[in-house]
Amino acid sequence: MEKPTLVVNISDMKISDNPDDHIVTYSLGSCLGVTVYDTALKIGAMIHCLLPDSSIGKGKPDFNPAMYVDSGLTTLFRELIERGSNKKNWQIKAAGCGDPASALTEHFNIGNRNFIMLKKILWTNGLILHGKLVGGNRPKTLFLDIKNGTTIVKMGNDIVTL
Amino acid sequence: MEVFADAFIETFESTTFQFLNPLDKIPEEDDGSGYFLGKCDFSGAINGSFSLIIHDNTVNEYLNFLFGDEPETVITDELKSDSVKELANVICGNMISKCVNAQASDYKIEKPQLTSLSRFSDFADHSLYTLFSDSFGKVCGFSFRLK
Amino acid sequence: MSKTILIVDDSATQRLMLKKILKMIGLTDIVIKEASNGKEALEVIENHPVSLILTDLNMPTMSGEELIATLKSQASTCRLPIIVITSKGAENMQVEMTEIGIDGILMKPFEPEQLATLLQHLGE
Repeated sequence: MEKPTLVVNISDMKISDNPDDHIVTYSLGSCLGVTVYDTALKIGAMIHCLLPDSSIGKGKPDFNPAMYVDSGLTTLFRELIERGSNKKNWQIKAAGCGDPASALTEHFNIGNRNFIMLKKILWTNGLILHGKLVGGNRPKTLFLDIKNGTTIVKMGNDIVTL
Repeated sequence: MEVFADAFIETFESTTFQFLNPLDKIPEEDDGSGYFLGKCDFSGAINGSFSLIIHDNTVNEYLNFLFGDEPETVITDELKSDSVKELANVICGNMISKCVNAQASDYKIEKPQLTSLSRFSDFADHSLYTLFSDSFGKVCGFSFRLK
Repeated sequence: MSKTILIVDDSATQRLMLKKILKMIGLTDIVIKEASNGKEALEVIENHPVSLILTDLNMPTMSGEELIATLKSQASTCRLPIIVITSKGAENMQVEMTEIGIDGILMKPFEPEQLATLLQHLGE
């Protein structure tokens, strides 16, 4: 795997059209990592969201849309479209949404809700997922190669191409 | 108990894209007006019934979300009733599959029936029930009874 | 000529969702026919060439199981691809359905990409 050139932190997103870029995000536990790659323009984007629903953060002075799945994906999609990208050419892949023991609360887990919110936003936009590795309790690292859109998930020593 | 509530939450949230939070007790305003009660009986290797409580507004929001951008789809009362019955059927099937040890070919889920709900406390005599608060602040819940 | 997909489900909500999902997964150049039970589905098939059936199992008048058995017993329809979409799930169902010649099974609620994958395998 190539050395990453762009790192997406928690509650962060990156977009690039530089074919030499390799975007990465680390330690996806219950968090959701999504990559969007435009196969025509060869623009790629990655986001790392912490929580599903932005309604708890909206209006606060330090509101960061990338923290939440709904506002983060909406912002990411808008930025791609502003760069001339057409959603018909998008390859969307997801990783994370795990269920680490520490994330267990009374009845639900954040990881599962992050994934449900992803599906909700995709439905709203008439989009589908082209690959995913979600759930489980092993932390995941997500890579995106801007040159060709190759999306890879690493869990320990296991490497999966989405 | 926990396993039934978890299976209910998982299926409800995945199907409707709405989130639920458990309620500790029956709401003080014990009034079920405006709520649908979708009920499915099942029989065969296992016998019993499943009921879903859901508010009219929640059903409306659910259908609007699914089909709001389809100009040819009109949200009629008939479609609302149909969607509650279908939701009850899907959740019932998933709960049996996840929580009860029965092969799918050995039991039958009867056609769901729709009734109204007079009071939430009518549910309290059911051996297994849980109520939640839904994304719109309305009550949502289920009862699951094996005969 | 556009291919025809027949959706068989007694729930109007489910039929609307399936129509929307077919559009979402990029199947726009198709004709969609609908039936609310097995009997209606047979009537549609009699009058219109159908290239794929998406059917529920638990339906009044004529169930999905009866519809499948009828289609499989007739030379003109025995090769028609069938995907079952059901709310009744169990691990062994996949095996049982494959034995009677079903091309795929999805348990409700399912994700649009699961249907897309099944259709890809069928070459739709």
